[in-house]
Amino acid sequence: MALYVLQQIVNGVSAGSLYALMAVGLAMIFGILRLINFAHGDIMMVAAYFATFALFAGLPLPAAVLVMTVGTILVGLAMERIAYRPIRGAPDVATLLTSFAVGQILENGVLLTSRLAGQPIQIAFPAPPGLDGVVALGSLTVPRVNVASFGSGIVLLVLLSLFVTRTRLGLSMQAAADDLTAAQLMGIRVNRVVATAFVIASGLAAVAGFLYASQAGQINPYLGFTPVLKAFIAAVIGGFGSLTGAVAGGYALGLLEVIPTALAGIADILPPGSVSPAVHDLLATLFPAGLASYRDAFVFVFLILMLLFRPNGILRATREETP
Amino acid sequence: MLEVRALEVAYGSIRALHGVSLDVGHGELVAILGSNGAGKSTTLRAISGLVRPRAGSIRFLGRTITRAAPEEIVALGISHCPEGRRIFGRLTVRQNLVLGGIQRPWPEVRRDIDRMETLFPILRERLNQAAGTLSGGEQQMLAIARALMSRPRLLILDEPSLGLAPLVVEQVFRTIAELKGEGLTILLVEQNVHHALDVADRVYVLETGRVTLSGPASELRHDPRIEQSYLGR
Amino acid sequence: MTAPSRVRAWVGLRRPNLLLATLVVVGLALLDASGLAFWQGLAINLAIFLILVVSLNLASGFTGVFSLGHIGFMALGAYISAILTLPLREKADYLPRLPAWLAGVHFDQLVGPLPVGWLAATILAGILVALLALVVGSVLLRLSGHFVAVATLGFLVIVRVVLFNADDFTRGSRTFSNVTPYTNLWWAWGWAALTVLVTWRLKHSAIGREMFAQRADRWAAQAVGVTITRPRLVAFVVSAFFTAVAGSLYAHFITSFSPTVFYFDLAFRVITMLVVGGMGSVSGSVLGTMVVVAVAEALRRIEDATLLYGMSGILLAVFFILVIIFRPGGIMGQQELSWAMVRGILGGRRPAPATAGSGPWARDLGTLHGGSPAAELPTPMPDDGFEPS
Repeated sequence: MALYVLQQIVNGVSAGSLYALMAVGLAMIFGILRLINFAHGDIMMVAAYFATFALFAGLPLPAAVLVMTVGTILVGLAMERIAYRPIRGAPDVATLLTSFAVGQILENGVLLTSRLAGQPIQIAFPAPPGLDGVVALGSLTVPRVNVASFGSGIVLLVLLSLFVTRTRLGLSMQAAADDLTAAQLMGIRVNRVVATAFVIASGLAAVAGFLYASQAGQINPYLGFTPVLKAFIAAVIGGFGSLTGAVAGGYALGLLEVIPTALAGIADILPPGSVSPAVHDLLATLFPAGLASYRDAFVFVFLILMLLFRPNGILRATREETP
Repeated sequence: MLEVRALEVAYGSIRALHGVSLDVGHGELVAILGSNGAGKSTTLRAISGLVRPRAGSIRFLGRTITRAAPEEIVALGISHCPEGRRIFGRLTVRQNLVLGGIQRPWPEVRRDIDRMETLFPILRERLNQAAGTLSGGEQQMLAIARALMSRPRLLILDEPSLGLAPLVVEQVFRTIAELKGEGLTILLVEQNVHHALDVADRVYVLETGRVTLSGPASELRHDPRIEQSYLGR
Repeated sequence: MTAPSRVRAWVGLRRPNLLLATLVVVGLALLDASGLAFWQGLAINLAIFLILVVSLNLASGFTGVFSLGHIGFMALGAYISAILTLPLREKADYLPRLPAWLAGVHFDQLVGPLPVGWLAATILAGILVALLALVVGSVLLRLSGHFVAVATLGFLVIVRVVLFNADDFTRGSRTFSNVTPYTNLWWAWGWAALTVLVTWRLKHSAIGREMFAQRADRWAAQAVGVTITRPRLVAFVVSAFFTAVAGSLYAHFITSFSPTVFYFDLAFRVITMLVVGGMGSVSGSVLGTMVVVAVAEALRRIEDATLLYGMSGILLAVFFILVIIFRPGGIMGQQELSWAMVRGILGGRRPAPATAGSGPWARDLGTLHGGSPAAELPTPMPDDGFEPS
């Protein structure tokens, strides 16, 4: 029983790393520009495609990752320069809708390019040799990919934290997110700060894309949609705009998601005789095996509850953003 | 040093400034007075590049800065200490000061932080505290110190006495007088007429977006029209 | 006013409007008789999109509360009506595990040529969805800005997950087919006309004005006594009704569908039409829908010819971004097309640019975060110590 729980926790933490990487990028851009970049999921998707084609072309893993990261960052910068800079200052909804349009461009662009390259819509991701198989941690079997997800997530987030607190550019970004007008009055170069935010966010999304593709085993142009929504939920849980909150929210969401999957059919997983028949039946009715597929719905109901009752994150009671 | 000519600013369809002109000379302390909504802050924001004027011109040290971006204006030597202080509450006092000097080379910034500690001893003790935990008066001192970190040729102060207790206001204005004494050129916007007139060389009075009165502070100090401009005609 | 003249006034039965209506009816009759299946299909598509866009305008354009998940209502309307209208025998074969109370109903009755069963099913589906919208709206509409947009997007995802999983009712991810093709030109355009009429009337009513008032500045509106949630809720519920109707029309037009149809691509298409037409203008929605459907159709032809699938999606999204940047108010802004305006245009006079919300964003404000002009005028900060809220 304990093993079952541990296994689920490991799954949750692994997914959480992905959400944390994505949520941090979202929170960073939102903090400075007040823009919810829904195309962020598509950035992640683009990264997966870059990696796939790089690997198909025979590049060794490190080179493929490099190509993927650079390519994704360039796409992110282009996106900022072309689509978002002209609408700075526009109301929330306009920027949100524009980010959807950008997402559509990326999705259809990838679809088109894929097709022209003679590929089907769903492409199998060539699993890099170091990342397949499982690792034994005590009595748990953990897929290598999950370990990589967790590991790279931690490393990147630590580096990010150092950058944001120890460098002047990182400090400028914090200032810009706190009070953009005051930051401008200091002489902070807004365009540079915004570009840096997009570079970092895109880079993190690229890693997330690679990990996602490794876990899922295949890619398609629409794979970014649900992750970005989940990243948004994670950022909201952590208090929108806060970077540490986004990270915490990401891991919290990963674990939260595990709950319906873990509870589904729990009545049958419990060793026989451990609970009374009455309790067993209750559990079977409340948590039928089919519950697992309602996982996404569960998560979004949670989002709605969060937005209603704790829009500024689980921890804080008050902040500026009035929903 | 600073020449503003026929400035017109509008927010959407709301006209805030209807042709404001003023000058600030080297070493002067010029005060802009006026009641709420007169357009004082708007004038300052236009000078700092936060708001783009619809018409008119702004020149600083011979260069036209009417449509320049805030970061360029800071680079030219204007530093704006905003209304309400607007310090970065979640960052430390020290980090706030670092940000004030963001455009300058790091070694100089480090030296200047030491200088600020001497000028504003109150900050020395609180250097690593979150700026949001400071009292109103301390925050105002921090805001001024932060503005000074860019070694400005012109310091703009927007309502430094706002929301502060009278004793603290005295302190703030003593500091302003000290800065003036060191030769810093200052453009001051204030609702507190008494203190402003004490410390200013020249004064402009703004009413509903227009300059209605201007002249040396010593002359205007006893002018009944100043009081009238606040109470309305 | 006497009763009949009041009805006439409500319907807007003035001479130019009558003329327009007659033209449309004649046009439809000709199209119907022509047998050109392609153009008929396009016209039906156009009508359905019109209902979707005008409804979304009501829910979002009028109130400023963006509902990204509105297509969820369409999906529900489609499934509910389709399940209801399945004849008994099909029901038994096709949806064998339906609960007894549902397995026994069949809304496939005809009175002469009129499918009254379908009409009843459509209305019933609309009412049920409207009730759901009442519940959902009461919960979600307290939020604003991007929060409500994302919350409604969450609603769309929830609907989709439920539809995928409730396969006893919906056949889950499998295609739901065997739907009787009741939808024709008259039904589609009839419902469209009704939607436009109701929305138009709402816009020019007291509650409509409240909707627009609380859009511009919610704090100011609250200060003068305009309640926030009531106009939003009314708009949301009424629009959900018509969106569900559109779902029913759609289901009985394409006759086979699955939950994937009612997802984000369709939502984005509708939003594009709304923005192009002008959020807040009913006539704008009509124009916007026609423009985008025409453009999309043309692009689709090119795609088919060149095999460059995906290109139409890219171009439409680019078009959308250009509109947002250069003419965010869309074709009509918040104004309505009036006969005076039409005469003016025909007479060669260029129409006056739509006032609010139609110029590029930051030109006058010169600031980085959007907001109403009132938000930019400086306000004094509170005293020592506590954080300004």
